[in-house]
Amino acid sequence: MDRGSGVLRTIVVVVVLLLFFVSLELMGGSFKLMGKGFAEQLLSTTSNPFVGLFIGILATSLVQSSSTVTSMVVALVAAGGITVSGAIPIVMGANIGTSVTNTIVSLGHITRREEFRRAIAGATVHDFFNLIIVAILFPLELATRFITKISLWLAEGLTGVGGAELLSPVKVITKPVSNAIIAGLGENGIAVLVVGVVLLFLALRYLVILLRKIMLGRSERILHTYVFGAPAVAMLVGILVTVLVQSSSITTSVTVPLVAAGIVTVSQIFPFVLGANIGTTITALLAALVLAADGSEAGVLALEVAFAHVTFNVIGVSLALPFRPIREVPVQLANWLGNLAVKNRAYAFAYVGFVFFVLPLVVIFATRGINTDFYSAPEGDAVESVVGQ
Amino acid sequence: MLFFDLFRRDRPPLIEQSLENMQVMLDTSLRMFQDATASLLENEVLVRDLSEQDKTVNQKESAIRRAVLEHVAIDPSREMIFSLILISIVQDAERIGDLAKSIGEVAQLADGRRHGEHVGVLQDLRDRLVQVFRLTRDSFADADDEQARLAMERSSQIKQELTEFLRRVSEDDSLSPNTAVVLAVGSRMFSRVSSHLSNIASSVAMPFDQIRRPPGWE
Repeated sequence: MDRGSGVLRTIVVVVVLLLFFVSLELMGGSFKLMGKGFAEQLLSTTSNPFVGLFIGILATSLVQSSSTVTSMVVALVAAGGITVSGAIPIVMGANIGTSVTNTIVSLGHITRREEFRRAIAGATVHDFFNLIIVAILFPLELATRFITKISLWLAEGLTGVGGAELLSPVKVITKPVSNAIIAGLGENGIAVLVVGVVLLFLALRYLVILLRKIMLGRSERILHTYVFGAPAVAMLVGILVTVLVQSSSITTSVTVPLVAAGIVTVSQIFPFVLGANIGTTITALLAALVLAADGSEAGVLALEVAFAHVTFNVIGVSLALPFRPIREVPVQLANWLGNLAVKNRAYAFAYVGFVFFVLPLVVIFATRGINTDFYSAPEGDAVESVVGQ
Repeated sequence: MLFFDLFRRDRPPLIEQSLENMQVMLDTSLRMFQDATASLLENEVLVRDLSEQDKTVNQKESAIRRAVLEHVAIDPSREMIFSLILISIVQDAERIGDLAKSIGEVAQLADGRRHGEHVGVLQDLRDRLVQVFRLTRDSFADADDEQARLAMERSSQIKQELTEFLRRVSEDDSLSPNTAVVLAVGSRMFSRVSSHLSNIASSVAMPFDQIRRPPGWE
């Protein structure tokens, strides 16, 4: 890549990034335009944390991007559409849902038996890790709200040192653009939401495509040298590469053919996959930083959700990475599923269909309207002050 | 790769065609090997022209290389690993054809009929090698790693016995120079055929970076 095309690509990346921020403001604006009734409906839906968790899984499985779902959740929180308590289970669900992409990629190896077994194991180690971590941290969060507390502390800490204003210059550019679009759409809440969502999808899609082209090729040597070395280094590379390409699906999908070909083992790629889990949280953090740039209380709540995503993943990785026996659990489960899928390939399809689509749908519909009072919103986690402003 | 491709268990057409060509190469090489060894060990007259059959094998090798390149250019996301495997081992299948032709040429060097204890040992090894041929062919077609491992293990055993056979021939003073050369060169070619078959089986039984290596699970 020569200097000219490099500069051009950088400009395009910046423009796409600005469009991503505009889309967040449009979505936030649309929720405000749709008023209190809409917010109450959303609040009621997400007040049950189990429903929230499975909404996160299903939505991310459908759009195959946790960045899209977590950014939307952050925008919703900033607009007062949902509470932080309602948002955290969705973010946890998004963590599970995002691993569907490389599991689907692994199904493409179906014509070669051994290759298929290894591919399934290589892809589902990410699924199993996320499922286990959610199974541990989700009840703990419900009982103690420790993730909420840590993320609140981080958000307030960052705001306290002026970090929330880090991206306020961006707001100077994006705010007039989003205001102009909202005015152009006659302040119709639904139209603004549709434009916001479409813009979010397009912006994130092209951001990933552009960054993948620019960054992944350059990361080839880093990947080759460090990915399958010491677990801690592999994890750091996983974080770095995922931050650079803004998509954990891209980085983890790279490992599937390597495992399928038998060049590396599931245990070897696992730390890298863990890094990707942390790296993918940067998108929602960026989104929250823009939304919090005006210093509003709602912006700080959005920041809290983004930090909850980071905290959840950092805790998950901290539990697994240092201890080989713990690290081996998802690896063993993934290998077990790989062996099962080779005996009957329908198991692999059934697994994807059940975990990512059928189970979330069943839980969402079966528990509709059931509210839980054991996970009520804490003081300050209110939305009414924001909606309709 | 489109979403609905995931539910398809058939291969892309060019890869399917390459797999069929690979099977034709192995089938043709097996026929050539059987004809050539029948000439060498059972003193039969070669009816089929081994050179013509070898040309077929060579043409199939070119066809596979072209088809795989075209497939990778069109749809690199599907069957990428298998495409690389095909390119890695197609040369082994081609070399088996060459070696079978050479065994036929060695038979022509012999100045008398081949019989006796040494020939009996080679006949037994030849019969077992034909089984390895079939195991390799089937394991490759069905991507059956268990059959492929069996093929590699049997191939390894046959090669050890061929080394021992060569030692015994070298120590047998009763053999004429012509018979000793014919048996020695013939057995070395058996060993090479066995190695190439093992290489092909390794593409099913072994990780991608271990293709052409000896059995790694021993």
